[in-house]
Amino acid sequence: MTAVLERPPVKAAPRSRRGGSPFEAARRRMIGPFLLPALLVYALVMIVPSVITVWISFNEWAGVGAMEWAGLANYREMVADPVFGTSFANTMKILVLVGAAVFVIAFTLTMLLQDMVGRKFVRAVIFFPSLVPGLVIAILWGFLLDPDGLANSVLKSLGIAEPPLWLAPENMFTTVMAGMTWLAAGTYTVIFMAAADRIPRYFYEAAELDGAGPLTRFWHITLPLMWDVIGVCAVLWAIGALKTFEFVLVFAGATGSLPPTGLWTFSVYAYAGAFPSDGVPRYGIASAAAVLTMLLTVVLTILVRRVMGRREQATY
Amino acid sequence: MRLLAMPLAWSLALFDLFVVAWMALSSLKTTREVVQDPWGLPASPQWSNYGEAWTSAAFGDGVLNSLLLVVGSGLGTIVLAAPAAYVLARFRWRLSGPVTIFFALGLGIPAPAIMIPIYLGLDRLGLIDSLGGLLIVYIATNLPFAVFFLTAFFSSLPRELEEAAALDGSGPYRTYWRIMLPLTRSGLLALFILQAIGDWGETFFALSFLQEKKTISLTLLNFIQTMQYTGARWSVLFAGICIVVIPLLLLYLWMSSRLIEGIAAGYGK
Amino acid sequence: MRLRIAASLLALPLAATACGSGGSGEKAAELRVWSMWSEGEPNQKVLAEAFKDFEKATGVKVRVQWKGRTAMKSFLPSLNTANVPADLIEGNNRELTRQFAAAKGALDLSDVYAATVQGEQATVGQTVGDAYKRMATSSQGVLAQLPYQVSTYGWFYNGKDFPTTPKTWEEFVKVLDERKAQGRRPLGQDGSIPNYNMRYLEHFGRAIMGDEGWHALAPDKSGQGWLKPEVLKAAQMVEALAKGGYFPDGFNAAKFPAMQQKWANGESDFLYQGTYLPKEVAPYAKPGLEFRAFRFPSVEGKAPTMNVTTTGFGIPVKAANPDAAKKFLTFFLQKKYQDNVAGVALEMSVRKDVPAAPQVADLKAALDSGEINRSDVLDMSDFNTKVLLPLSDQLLFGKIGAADFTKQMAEQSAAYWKSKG
Repeated sequence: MTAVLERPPVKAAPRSRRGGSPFEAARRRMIGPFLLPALLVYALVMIVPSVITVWISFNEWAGVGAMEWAGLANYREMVADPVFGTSFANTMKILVLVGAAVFVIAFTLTMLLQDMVGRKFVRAVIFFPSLVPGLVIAILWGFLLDPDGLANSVLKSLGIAEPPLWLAPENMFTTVMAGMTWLAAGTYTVIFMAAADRIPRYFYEAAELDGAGPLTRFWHITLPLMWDVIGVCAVLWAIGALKTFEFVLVFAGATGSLPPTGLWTFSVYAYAGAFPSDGVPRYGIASAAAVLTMLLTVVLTILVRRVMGRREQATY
Repeated sequence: MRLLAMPLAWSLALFDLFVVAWMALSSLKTTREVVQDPWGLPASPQWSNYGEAWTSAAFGDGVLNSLLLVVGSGLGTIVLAAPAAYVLARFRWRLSGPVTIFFALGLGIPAPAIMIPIYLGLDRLGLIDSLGGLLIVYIATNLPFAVFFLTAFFSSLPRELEEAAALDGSGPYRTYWRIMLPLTRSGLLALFILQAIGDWGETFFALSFLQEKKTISLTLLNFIQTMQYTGARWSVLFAGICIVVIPLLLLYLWMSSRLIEGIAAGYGK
Repeated sequence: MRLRIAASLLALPLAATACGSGGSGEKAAELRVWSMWSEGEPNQKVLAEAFKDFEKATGVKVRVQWKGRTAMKSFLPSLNTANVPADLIEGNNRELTRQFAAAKGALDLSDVYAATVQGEQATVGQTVGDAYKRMATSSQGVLAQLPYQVSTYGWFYNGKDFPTTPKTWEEFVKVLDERKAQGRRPLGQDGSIPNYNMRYLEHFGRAIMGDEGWHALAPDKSGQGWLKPEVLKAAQMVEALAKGGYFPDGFNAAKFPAMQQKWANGESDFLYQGTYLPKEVAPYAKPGLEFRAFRFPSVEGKAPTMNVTTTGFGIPVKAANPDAAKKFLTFFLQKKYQDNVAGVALEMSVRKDVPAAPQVADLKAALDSGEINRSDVLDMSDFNTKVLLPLSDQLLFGKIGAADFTKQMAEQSAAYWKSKG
C-alpha cells in the first residue's frame, strides 16, 4: 500500500482489457450502489453545511437573525488581529514541535522495545490516556504541577532547590505541549508497535546474519516497511493538531471562561468567536477561522503526502 | 539505549496506570480528602459517592440512548463506509482518487462550524430532539475517518483473491460479501471500537440537537457543571466520571489486543 | 446489501418523526420551561415548588426541562426555526440581553413589569427596582429578562478571625500589612483566571473615575483615554499590590481553584469572589470556617459600585403560550417564593424585603441601596479578552509597571480598533 489518499487504484484483474470482460463491466456497475449512499449522507450532512459556513464567513452574523454582508471584512480583521497571529503560531508549534516529539518517542519505543518483557502489557496501558476525559487530566495536572504539588515535591527531594513553576504564564504553553505529547505518544506508539509486529521475522533474522545492529535493522528494515503507516499517521496528526481545542480549553480555562490568549490555538480562536463567554456570538469571524482550518487541512494533507511520497519506492 | 528506553516505556505505562488509579481512588474519598491530600489513600472508602452520583446526575436516563447511538452509529457507519471504501480502494476508475480526497477533507471540518446549518436541516425534517437525527449526524461525521481507515484496509488485501473468485464464477457482489468483507473483520471491529469510544463521549452535537432526550455524556457534562457551580463535590464528580469511563476501559481491555491488531492492519499493509 | 442500506436510511427519519413530533396543536394548553438548574439543586427545588403551585392556581400544565447551565447555549440555535422548544427560558442577564435579545428572539417584557405582582400591591417593576431593570434591557432597548435572583462579589473572610471590617482601602491595606508582618500571605488569588486578575484594576478605576469614566476607556478608538492620570493611579495601586508580597507564592502558577482551596483551608485571609463562593467551597472548607463578606472598600473616599449578575427568565417572541409565561413571572415574584430563594437556595433575591443570609448581609445592603455598576450592558468582551486581560495579567503578576501598562494599553487599544476597521 502506498499512502492512503489518492492512491492509484489497485490494478484489479490486470489481464482484462479496460471494461472488456463482463466481469469488469459488472464491477463497474457496482460503483454506483456501493459509493453513492455514503457519498450522499456525507455530502448532505457535512459538505453542504461546510459550504454554508464559507458563505457565513463573508457575513456578520450573531448565529440567529439576519445576516449582514461583510465581504472580506472578517478575514481582514482576523489577519490584523495579533491574537490570531498568536493562535496561528501556537497551532504551528503544536503541529511541528509536539508532532516531532510524539513521533520520536513513538519511534524510539518501537525500535527498542521489540523484545521487551511485558511489552503487551505496556502497549495496552499506554493507550489509556485517550480514554480518560480531558477534565480528569486537567484536574490531575492542577494537583500534580502546583507549585507545592507532587512533581515539585519529588524534584525538591532530589535536591533541586527551585523547581520550575510549571503553570506560570511564561511556562504554561510549554506545559500544555508536554501534556499533549504525553497524550498522543501512547496512541502513536501503539500504532507503530503494532505495525512493526506485522513485519515478518525472517527479514530481521536475515539482517542479523549479516551482522546488522539494532539501529541498522531499524533504519533498513523497520522504517521502510512502516513508511505507509507513518504517512497515514502524519496526516492524522496534522489534521488533529490543526483542530487542537479541547485540551487547551479544559486545561487552561475554568468552566465558562476562555484560557488566556497566549495559549489560544486556531480552533480556540474560532470557538471564542462563536461562543464568547459573555458577549454576542460572532459567527462570521468564527466561520472565517473554520474555513481557514479546512483550507489548511487540504494543504497539509497534500504536503504530507508529497513529502512522504518520495520514499514510496522504498516500500517493497 | 535499550537501557534508557525500558525505564521510559515503563514509567510512561506506570504513569498512565497511576492516572486511572488516581481517578478511581479520588472517587472513593471525601471531597476534603481529594483537595487536602490528593495523593493519599481514602481513610474509609466512600462508596456512597457512586450512589449519589448515579441519582443526582440521573445517568439512568442517558444510558439506553447512548447504547443505541453507539451501536447504531457504529453499524450504520460500517454499512455505509465499507462498500464505499471497497470500490475506492479496489476499482480502477477515473474519480477514485479525487473522491477519496473528498472524503478525507471531512476530517478537517470542525464540528462547531457546521452545527447551525445541520440544526436547520434537522429542524426541517422534524429531527431535532430525535435519536434518529443525532444518529444520522454521528454516522455522517464518522464517515471520513471510516472511509479513510477502511480504504487502507481493503487495498492491503492481495488482489489474487478477487481474481480467483472471478475465475470460480463468483459475481462481484458475492466476491465482496463472501470474500473481501470477511477478510476485513479485524479492521471493522477496530473501527467499531474506535467509533464507540468517540460517540460514547460525544457532547457537542448531542447538546446542540437533543432537547428533552439525554445521552450519558450529556448527563455527565451537566453534572460536572452543576457540581462546579453549586458545591464543588469533587469526590462525587469523580465517581460520576468513573461511571462513564469505566465501561469504556473495560471494553478496551477486553478488546485491546484485537483492537490493536485491527488498527495496525488498517494503517499499514 | 443495497436493500438494507436503503431500508435503514428510510427507516431512520420515519421512526424519528413518528416519535419526535408531539403534536404542535395542543401546546397552548401548557407552559414549557427550560431552566438553567439541574435536578436536585436547591434552586431547582425552589422553582419546582412554584411551578406546582402555579399549576394548581391556574390549571396551566407546566412542563419543565431542567437543562442546567447550558440551557441558553442549546436554546439559541432554535431561534432560527419556527419550533422554539420553550415558552420560558432561564439565564443570566448577559445571556438574555446579549445573546437572546441580540438575536431578536426576546419578547419585550414591559407589560410584565407594569403588571402587579400576584396578590400584592406593587408592580413587578417596582419590586425588581430600576437597577436590575436596566440590566435586563438589551442595547437595542428590549426589556428581555425578568430577574429574581442576584449575585455579586465580596471580600470573603473567616468571621472568627476579624471582628471588624475595613471601610477604606487604606484601612484594608493596614490589615493586610499586619497579617503580612505575622508571616502570612493574606490575599488569596487564583491567578490562572484572567477575569479574576482584572478585578482589582477595574474596581480601583471605577472608584477613581466613576463608572462612566471607566467604561468610556475601552470603546475609545484612539486609545488615548488609557493615558489619563486616573488610570495611572489605579494601575499604580495594582502595582503596589503586586509588589507588596500579599499574594501566596506561585499564585499565578497554580490552576484554578487551587488558591481558592487554600483560602478555604485557612492558608490566606481574604478572597475577592462571587457570592456563590460559600456554596462552592463548603465541601472542602476547613471545618468551622465562618463565611463573612464585605464590599470592596472605598478608594479616595468613593466605594466602587457593585458588579452584579442577575438570574431570571425571558420569553421567546415565538413562544406558543406567552400569556401563561407572563403570568408565571408575576406569580414567582411573590414574597413566598422569593423567601425560598434566600432560605432554601441560599441566594440573594431581587426583592429588598427578603433578607439575605448573614454571610452576605453586608453585600445585600449595598445592593439594595442601588449602587450597581452602570455601564455593563456594553459588550466589550472581545476587547477585554484580547487587549485588557493579557496586560492586566502582566500588571498583577509584576511583569510590567503601571506606566508601562497604561502606555501599552493605549497602543494596543488603538491597534485593536484599527483592526476592526
